[in-house]
Amino acid sequence: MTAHAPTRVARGWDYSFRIRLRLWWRALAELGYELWQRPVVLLGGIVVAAFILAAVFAAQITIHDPTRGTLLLRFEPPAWEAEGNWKYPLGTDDQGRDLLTRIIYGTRVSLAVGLLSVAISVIVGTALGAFAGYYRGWLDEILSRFADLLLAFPFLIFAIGVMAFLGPGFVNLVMALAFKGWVEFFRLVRGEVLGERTKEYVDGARVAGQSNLAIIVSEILPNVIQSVFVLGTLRLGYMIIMEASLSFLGLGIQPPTPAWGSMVASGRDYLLVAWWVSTFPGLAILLLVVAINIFGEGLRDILDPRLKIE
Amino acid sequence: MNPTDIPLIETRDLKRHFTIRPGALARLLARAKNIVVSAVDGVSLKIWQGETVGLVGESGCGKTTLGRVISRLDIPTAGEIFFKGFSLREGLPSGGDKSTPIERLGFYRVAQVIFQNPYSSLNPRKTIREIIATPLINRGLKDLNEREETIIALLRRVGLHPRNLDQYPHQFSGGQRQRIGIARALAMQPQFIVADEPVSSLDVSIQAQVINLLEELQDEFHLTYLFIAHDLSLIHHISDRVAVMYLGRIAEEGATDDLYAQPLHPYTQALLAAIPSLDKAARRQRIILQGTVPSPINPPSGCRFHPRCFARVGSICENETPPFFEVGKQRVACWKYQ
Repeated sequence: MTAHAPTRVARGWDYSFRIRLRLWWRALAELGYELWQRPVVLLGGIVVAAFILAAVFAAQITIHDPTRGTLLLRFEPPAWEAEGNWKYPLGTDDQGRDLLTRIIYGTRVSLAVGLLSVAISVIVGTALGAFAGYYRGWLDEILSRFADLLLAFPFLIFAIGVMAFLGPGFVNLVMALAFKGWVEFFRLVRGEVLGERTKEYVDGARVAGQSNLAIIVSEILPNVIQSVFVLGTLRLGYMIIMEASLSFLGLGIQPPTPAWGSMVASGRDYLLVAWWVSTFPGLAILLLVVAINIFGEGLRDILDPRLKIE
Repeated sequence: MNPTDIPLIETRDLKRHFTIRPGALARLLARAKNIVVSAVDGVSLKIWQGETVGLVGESGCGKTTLGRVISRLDIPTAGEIFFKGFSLREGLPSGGDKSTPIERLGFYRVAQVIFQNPYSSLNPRKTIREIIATPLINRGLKDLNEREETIIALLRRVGLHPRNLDQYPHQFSGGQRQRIGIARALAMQPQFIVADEPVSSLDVSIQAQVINLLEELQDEFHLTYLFIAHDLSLIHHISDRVAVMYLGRIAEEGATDDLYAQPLHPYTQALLAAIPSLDKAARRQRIILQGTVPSPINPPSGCRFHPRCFARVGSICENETPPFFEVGKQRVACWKYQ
């Protein structure tokens, strides 16, 4: 045998961690390059990032109080209108509160409800889907029928029912959305696990001494998680619309906490005299959801190798 | 080769039947019944320490299923497997102590598998280091440095460079991947390896390298192989003994040289006659079998081979299952040798 060139003998997890970090960094750089090739997707990502930053630093970037206004300053028009004032760039609402401030604070509610409900849906749906797809049997039968049952309800009507039962509030809102949201992830993960479990590498892991749990968690799930991630991004926009719809109907976040849905609702009565009160929160919903969807679909194109081949 | 009294692996009347259940609607409306596929139907086989047993047969004869059942990736419907005389149904002798790897891992601690398709048998999301570390961790090698050194030694032993340790399977060629699969199997320090067509998806030039590697490893680690293949020349080269399988049963079994020199079962004769040869004089007379392999859903009665047999002795072939007859050192399931 030929003598091997001297190599650094890798030692332990410290080394392994550095390698992993490098691989992550490389994957991230690759993702960045792919994004650069798709300017529209990149723009979507930038808009989403801007909303996230606005939500996090809402208190730092606004000068007005989001919940208390001056009644003397009701219905100030946007700054570019004849009677506008740059102190209130997007005008004020029926209680004299600055609209821009309230929209920025409203981002917090939309993103928090959206992210939390998607996160719970992902965790519950992935766990149940993985177990149902791997073990099959009665567990799968029961969960799949239950999922079918939930899918038969229109989402909004189902959420209205749950909210009417639980009562309004942030936690209840997240629960109501997640209670139906997990089904999508359950079906996705179950299907993918069904396809993965018969592959030879699963047998290989079993012969290597892996337990069923280890096979699910450390062998199969890493092969499935990418599609979960993509679906999660796409569902986030949907959840934000659901939150806005429920808040619009008065079942979601309660005033005076600014939420885009309830802001649209509060301006509805004054649409003819002060069009901006409803319009700008509505535009914010539109902008954020469109940006999330463009970004999510771009991400899917980049990450899904089946689409990449074309 | 030192045959002792107890074989390393013994199967007794091993069966694996798959039941296909029709859907509830078909059951209700069309009165559909369960369909039973007898993939392995009563296989008794002895594998002695240190030898290579070749298992041949055409596609769908149940050789892969038999390999899976013997390596405990699948559970037999009936029959028993013995390891050094201990029934696997009762577990291996370790005193029931869950902390010993042999109890926790069971049979995988002593028996490993080399898979057919090196493109799907390695997890695409794991690095080579992680793939080979898995059996090491599970057999209780906790010390990081020791584990790292073992991984590197294993990788070198199968002819790969340790610099490839942090690469993913898709960065390797088919032959290299099969070497990684072999390293994973060796990591468990097994005594017995089921090689399920380990080279059939590789280029011919690579096949020879992998076969040579397997033979070297056998000498070095005193391994026993069950070598499943449909390539008859390959089986001739690597096996000490050969078992010929037809429709879930073993038709003939014997030492490789005897069996290739003098095939007894009509099926073996037909199979060996199909080996292409460059030497005109050495060419055997071609035997062309009639029909195709019957379905294992409704296998023929009596001798499974009788509808295609050219050497039938009479109605006994159709009515009664032939037992094994000892002819010389060979065992053959054919009424001709009654």
